[in-house]
Amino acid sequence: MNFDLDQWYEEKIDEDAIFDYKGRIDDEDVTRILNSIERILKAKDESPKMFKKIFNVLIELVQNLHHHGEVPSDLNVDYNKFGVLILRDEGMQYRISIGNFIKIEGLKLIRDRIDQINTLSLEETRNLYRIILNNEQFSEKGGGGLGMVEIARKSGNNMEYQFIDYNADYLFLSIDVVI
Amino acid sequence: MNSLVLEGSPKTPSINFDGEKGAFLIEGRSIPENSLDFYKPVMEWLDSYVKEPKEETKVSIRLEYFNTSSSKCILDVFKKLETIFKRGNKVIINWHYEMDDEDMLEAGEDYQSIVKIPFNMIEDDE
Repeated sequence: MNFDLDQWYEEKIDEDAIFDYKGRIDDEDVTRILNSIERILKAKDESPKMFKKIFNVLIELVQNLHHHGEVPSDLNVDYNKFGVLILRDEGMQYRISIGNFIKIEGLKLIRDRIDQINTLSLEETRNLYRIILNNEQFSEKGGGGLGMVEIARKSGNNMEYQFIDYNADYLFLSIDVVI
Repeated sequence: MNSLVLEGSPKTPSINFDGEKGAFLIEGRSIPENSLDFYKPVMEWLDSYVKEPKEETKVSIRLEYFNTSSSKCILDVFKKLETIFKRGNKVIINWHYEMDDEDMLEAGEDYQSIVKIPFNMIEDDE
């Protein structure tokens, strides 16, 4: 049974979902998504502290989609950055779910990275952040490998992830961050 | 020395580096997808400034948000200024954060732990 993206997406959207997006993630889409969520959270009168935490994590997650959201050819779209984002207000916490396609060969690198970060305490996360910040390397996409660490640090929670088989070349990666 | 002035946008900070006064300000949001492109002219301007710096350089950072790709560029700004600090010029960084924004205070402390320039952490009322 092949992975059905539309079904996966629909199942994520229930009465707790306060924002959802599926599609192209170009520069202008990143801007639009962030603007929309900012408006939604401001309208909910969320505390400035929580608002900033959510927004900081969102910035990294959406830009992650922008940099890494691959497009398998059978998606039949005319752009080359694709991603999914759902923001849910679960009462006591917010949950951000993102999803994107990755090439199968990227699996180990991403899984190892998330697993490693998930084992760290908050203080260890902070130390790792400082180490990466201060090393000279900058990835070609400009992120420098800091994004995931920042997400863990700002949210204070482990990332929940799932790799789902899609076809011979691609997997679908979904990550949930709870704040 | 000329000044460098870049107007802010929803994703990029306003930059006002006054080369005559040695007063530098970075303010707003720094969340561009490609920070290297945005900060390139800033780095180039700083390369000229560090050749003929003012006796005292006062840097004010007043950021609401910055993404991780900007965080490396901001460190590069500080590292350029660190070269003139190590040569004996006075450099001060005033790191502003909004009231109760512990994350932004921590971000300032991250830089403070890496860069040798003295930092003042300033909590703004609003």
